[in-house]
Amino acid sequence: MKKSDPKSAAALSESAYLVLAALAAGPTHGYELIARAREISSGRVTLPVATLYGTLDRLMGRDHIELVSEEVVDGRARRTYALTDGGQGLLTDETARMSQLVTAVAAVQRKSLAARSVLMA
Amino acid sequence: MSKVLKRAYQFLLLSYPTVTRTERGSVELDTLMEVSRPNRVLPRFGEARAIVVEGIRERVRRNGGTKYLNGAFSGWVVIGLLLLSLIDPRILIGLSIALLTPAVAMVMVISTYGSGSLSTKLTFPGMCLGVMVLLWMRVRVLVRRTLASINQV
Repeated sequence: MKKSDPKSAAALSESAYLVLAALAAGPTHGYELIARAREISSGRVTLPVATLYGTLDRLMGRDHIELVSEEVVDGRARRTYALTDGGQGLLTDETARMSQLVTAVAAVQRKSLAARSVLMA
Repeated sequence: MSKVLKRAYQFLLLSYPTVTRTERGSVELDTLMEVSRPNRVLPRFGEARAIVVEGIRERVRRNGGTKYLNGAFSGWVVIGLLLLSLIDPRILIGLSIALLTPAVAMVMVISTYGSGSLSTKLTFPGMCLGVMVLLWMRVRVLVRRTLASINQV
């Protein structure tokens, strides 16, 4: 079977992946997205605001996400974004790709560990 | 104080092309203010760098090539940084310190520039200024972290 779009599945930056993952929990706005991304990465990644909006723009250009609403809350402009079906698919593909890598690397490490313990014995 | 920070972020957002700035500038500015601590005066290094990087990225994307980087952009960066230093004199102090070493080399390069538009002439010094300000901001963070670790028992 032919893969849907190998390029878009392979060339996803960490920030794009985190944004998609954060949106998987439901539509939300920029500030909340940064908080969710930080939570998902267990505090490792705090997306800079400019990177977030740049990523949102690029994901929107590829129809992975969509703008749901635009409103003013407490005098602050807010845009709410949501995952499209395409974005959902991309997130699933990317997650599968990464978990395949994790499994493969873990197997390699197990093998080298086993080899070392044989040498030690 | 947050007024100063807001203005600082506004100037940094000048690195965006006008189209991008009108498209998402105000939303981005509001989010920037939302994520900053209330007593914050200067932009966070990471945020400042991200804005400039996004600005370059957008300009390259919208103009279909790196050729544009030699044009008006660096001129705008210089103006933005000078305006920033008006807001906070510490930037100017940092700038002058950072400029001391490479100043001679820069003057030499500028003097070899022949005719051309003002923005062309500003390209190299603009880039140097930008890099040095970023470096200086980094140094500031490092100094603060070091001081904090000294105070820690």
